[in-house]
Amino acid sequence: MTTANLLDFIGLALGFLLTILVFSYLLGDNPFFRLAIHIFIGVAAAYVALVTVNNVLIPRLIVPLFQGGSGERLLSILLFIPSLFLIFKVTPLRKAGNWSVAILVGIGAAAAVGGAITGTLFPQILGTINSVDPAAYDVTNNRWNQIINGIIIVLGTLTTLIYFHFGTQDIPGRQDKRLPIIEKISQAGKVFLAITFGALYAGVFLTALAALVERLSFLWDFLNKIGFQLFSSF
Amino acid sequence: MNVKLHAPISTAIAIGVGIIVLAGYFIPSVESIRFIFLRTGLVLAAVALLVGIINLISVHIRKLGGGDENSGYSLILLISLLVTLGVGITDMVQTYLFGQPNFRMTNWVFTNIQMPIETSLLAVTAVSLIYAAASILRKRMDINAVIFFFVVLLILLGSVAIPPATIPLLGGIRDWILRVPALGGARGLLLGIALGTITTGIRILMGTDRPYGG
Repeated sequence: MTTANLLDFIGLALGFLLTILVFSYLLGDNPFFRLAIHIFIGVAAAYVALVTVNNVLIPRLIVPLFQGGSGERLLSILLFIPSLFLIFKVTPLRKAGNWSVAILVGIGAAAAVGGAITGTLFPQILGTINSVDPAAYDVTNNRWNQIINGIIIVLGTLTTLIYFHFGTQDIPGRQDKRLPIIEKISQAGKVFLAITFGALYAGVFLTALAALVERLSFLWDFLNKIGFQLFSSF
Repeated sequence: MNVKLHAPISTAIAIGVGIIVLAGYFIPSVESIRFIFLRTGLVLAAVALLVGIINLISVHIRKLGGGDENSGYSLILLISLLVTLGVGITDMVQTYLFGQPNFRMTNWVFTNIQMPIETSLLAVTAVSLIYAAASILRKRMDINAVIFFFVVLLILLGSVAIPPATIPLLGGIRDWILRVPALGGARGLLLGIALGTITTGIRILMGTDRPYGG
């Protein structure tokens, strides 16, 4: 057996063992499952750190510092200062890193607002309007079907949005309650939410089922590889 | 109104930087500055992630020293983290210092340790989801639970792609559910999330929320 083959075999055996450890959770929470989870957290954290350094910090901070033009170098040096102060967050001088976090939070908040407006709010509103706009209908499909479907989509969007409206009337001496009309509309919103969550749940289940089939097939293949031909007729 | 500002410099930085980045989305002349700030944010987010991992290591080192009954798991976590880091750093040194770009050992760790555990966890989820779906009607028998259950059932039956078990009518119903009522509900959810994100973002940009220690 060559070194590469041996390494491949060790990898498969390790994968087999870890799969069994995780599957032991089906019998209830146990030390074997916790062992696998802690290995996973350690490996995943290290892998994320490596990917971050290799794909972000080296190409965007280190390489421009040594190989970039004067502007790139200046920007990299400027970037180094808040980055160094950010590391203070894990030392007793953690307050010194607050201004670096403030830059990150400011940029993050603005990017989230801009992204939500241009990436979600406008496209989703436009999509909802198009579903009841006859000019946007597909001419090859039945017009009435598209009208009815469009009305259902608009109803679903509006009632779901209204379901999340938790504003109440402030009436002295009475328990805060939503307006009766909002309460009634939100019941329809709940129905649409149940349908949406049902669809999402089924989608997640199908993905998980595919993973289960893949893992069982892996276990089967590995057992066959090491000579367990118990079910060779299959 | 008595507003006590604890960290005026941090607050001013967050508001100033945020307004410039937000303006970059709508004013073309500010767009190039937005890209510089987004690059800054990307680098800082990467450093923040490393800070988080350093914090994870220090928490588990403390657990080891404190004689916690679960300190054995912390030891396993630290060993797996440090071994993976060692392997990755060796690969990086080979790539950047000796010009041999191959991340073979890092890929080996990913393929043979991380991926099997991730996939197995997802596989275990399948069993948990079956149990949850079966118990939903037992625990909460109302109209929404019934609708949820039947939608799950219809979509699963409509998704069967093996020819003898395929029912065209169920496939059509599944497509209609996904294309019409589920889309309407999902749009409502997405719009709600977007509105919530905008509200939270604006509170930070106005200095009302200061999650940076202000």
